[in-house]
Amino acid sequence: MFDRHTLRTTMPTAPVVLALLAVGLVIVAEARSGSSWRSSAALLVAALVGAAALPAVRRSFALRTAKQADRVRLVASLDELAAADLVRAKAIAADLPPALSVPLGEALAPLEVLASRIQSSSVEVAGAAGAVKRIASELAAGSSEQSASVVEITAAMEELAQTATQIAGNAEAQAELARLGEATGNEGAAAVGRAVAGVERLRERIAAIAKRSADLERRAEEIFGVLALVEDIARETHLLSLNAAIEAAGEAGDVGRRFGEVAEEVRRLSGRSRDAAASVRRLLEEFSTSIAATVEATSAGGREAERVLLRVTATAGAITGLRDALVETAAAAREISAGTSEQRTASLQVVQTLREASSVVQQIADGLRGFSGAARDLEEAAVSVQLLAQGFRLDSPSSLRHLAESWATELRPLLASPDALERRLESLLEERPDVELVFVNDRRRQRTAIVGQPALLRLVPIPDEIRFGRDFSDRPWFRAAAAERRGIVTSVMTSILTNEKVVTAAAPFFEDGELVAVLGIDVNLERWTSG
Amino acid sequence: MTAGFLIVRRAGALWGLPAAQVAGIERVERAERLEGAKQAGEDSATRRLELRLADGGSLAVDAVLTLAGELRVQPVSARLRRFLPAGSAGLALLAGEPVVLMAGKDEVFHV
Repeated sequence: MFDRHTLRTTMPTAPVVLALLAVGLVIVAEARSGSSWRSSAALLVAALVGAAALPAVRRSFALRTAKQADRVRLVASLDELAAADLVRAKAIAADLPPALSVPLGEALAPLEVLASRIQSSSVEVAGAAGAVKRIASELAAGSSEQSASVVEITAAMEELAQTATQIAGNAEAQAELARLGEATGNEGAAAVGRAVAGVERLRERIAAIAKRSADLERRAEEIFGVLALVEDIARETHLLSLNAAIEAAGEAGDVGRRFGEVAEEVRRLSGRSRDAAASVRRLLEEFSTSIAATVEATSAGGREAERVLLRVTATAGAITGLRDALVETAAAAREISAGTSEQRTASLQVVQTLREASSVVQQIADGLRGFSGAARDLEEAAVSVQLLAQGFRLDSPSSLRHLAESWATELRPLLASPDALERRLESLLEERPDVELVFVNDRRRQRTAIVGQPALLRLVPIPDEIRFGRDFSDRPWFRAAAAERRGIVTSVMTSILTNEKVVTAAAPFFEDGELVAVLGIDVNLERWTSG
Repeated sequence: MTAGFLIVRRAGALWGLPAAQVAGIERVERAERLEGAKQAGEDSATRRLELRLADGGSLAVDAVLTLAGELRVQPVSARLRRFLPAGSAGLALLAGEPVVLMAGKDEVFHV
């Protein structure tokens, strides 16, 4: 019933006691001075009544004052609640009377739980959305690559089909040529057969000519025999005529003369016979020479015909072999043509199938690109919700406002020592790998303590003009922190170090109500949500 | 000029014998063996002509060409005579060929 607060407000205070003492002294003084003790008593009674009533008055005044202060604190707590700073709201509400703090606490608790869950869930949702977006992007990229590969394969298969078509055409032409070659080979073989038959007939005729020439030669020999006989007769006749002439030369008179004339006539006849026989012999010898030449020519012709027959026979064999080879070639060419035609057909079917597959893959790629776009939208929405949830300051690792406020509280004593400030920033940075950059812009000293993740600074070192003399009051995080006079979280921006998405949690430093510095924490969005 | 010479060929030369010394002409066969190659168309037996002389002898000749009625006898000089057999009456031309005219047969054998 009487709590500390009630007791404090109802116990008489020192001024009341002094007042009673003062009245008592006055009464004593008056009594000693002989003044009327009644007025003094009245004054004392009045003082006692006043003293007795003063606590009540005071209590009433205290209660009124306390209620006013509670109202102020309540309003302040509600103001902090309106600013979504549940940490400060709870801290202020803790100083309220139980009648206020308890229900307010009971109201803040579920809200804090809800906000905390919303913050953590939004981080998880943003992380999941980011993962979905990455997967969707990878799927879209992979599908695009697959689509491009299918297009390339389709183009290659089309070229293959075209090549197969050309090959099939060439094979068909080759088959036709082989067929013509086969037919030509058959004709050649037939021609060679006819030639062989012709040479055979020629050889037979030559043999017949040789036989007839031999017969002629035998007849000529017989004629030579008869001619020799005639020549013998002519010689004998000549001898006879010479004998007769000799006898006639030995006879005198007409008998001898006539005998000599007869002998002379016989001798002339024998001479004519001999001349005729010589002419016949010359003719016969010429005839025999011609016959011999003819025989020789026919023999040579026969031998040549024999050689020709042998060559023709060999040629016939070669042509027959060539024809057989052409037949086989034609058959092989027909098989090749049929095979290439089938290959062409199969290639065309494959091309058609690949085209259909390409269309499907393209549709899938389009769908995945759309899904990727939806995933990006989802991620953006999730980030928006996440940042919206960051509007609450909660005593939670998920609350960036609380992070900035707590780091600001911790760093406030180090503002005067930039080196110590940066060392502490480095140690804080080690605890948060999702933070790219943390900096404190001290307006009074015109200096910025700035620390970044070592791996990132190897790529982009911080220039000195950032640390000294740079005015960041135009930056969104500075303006928002200065305007809100509390921790804030900016919207999504692009990191100057990594070119990735970051948000900046900022908290102001005030001294005597004046803004002296602002803390900025660049949080990598992806590492924050995936962390 | 003389008449009645029987022109014969013997040992490659033409001889003229007086017709009065020749009784007749006969063809005889004698077996002659030719050593060495056998001539084509020739038998081992050779038919030759033989003059039957008026004194009963005979003279084998290769051929009897003709009975020349008139021949112009060309006298030969002493330098040329030593190449002719003794008993030759001189040279004559018959169809452009020289003929050694003989007076008797004995000289002919020395040819």
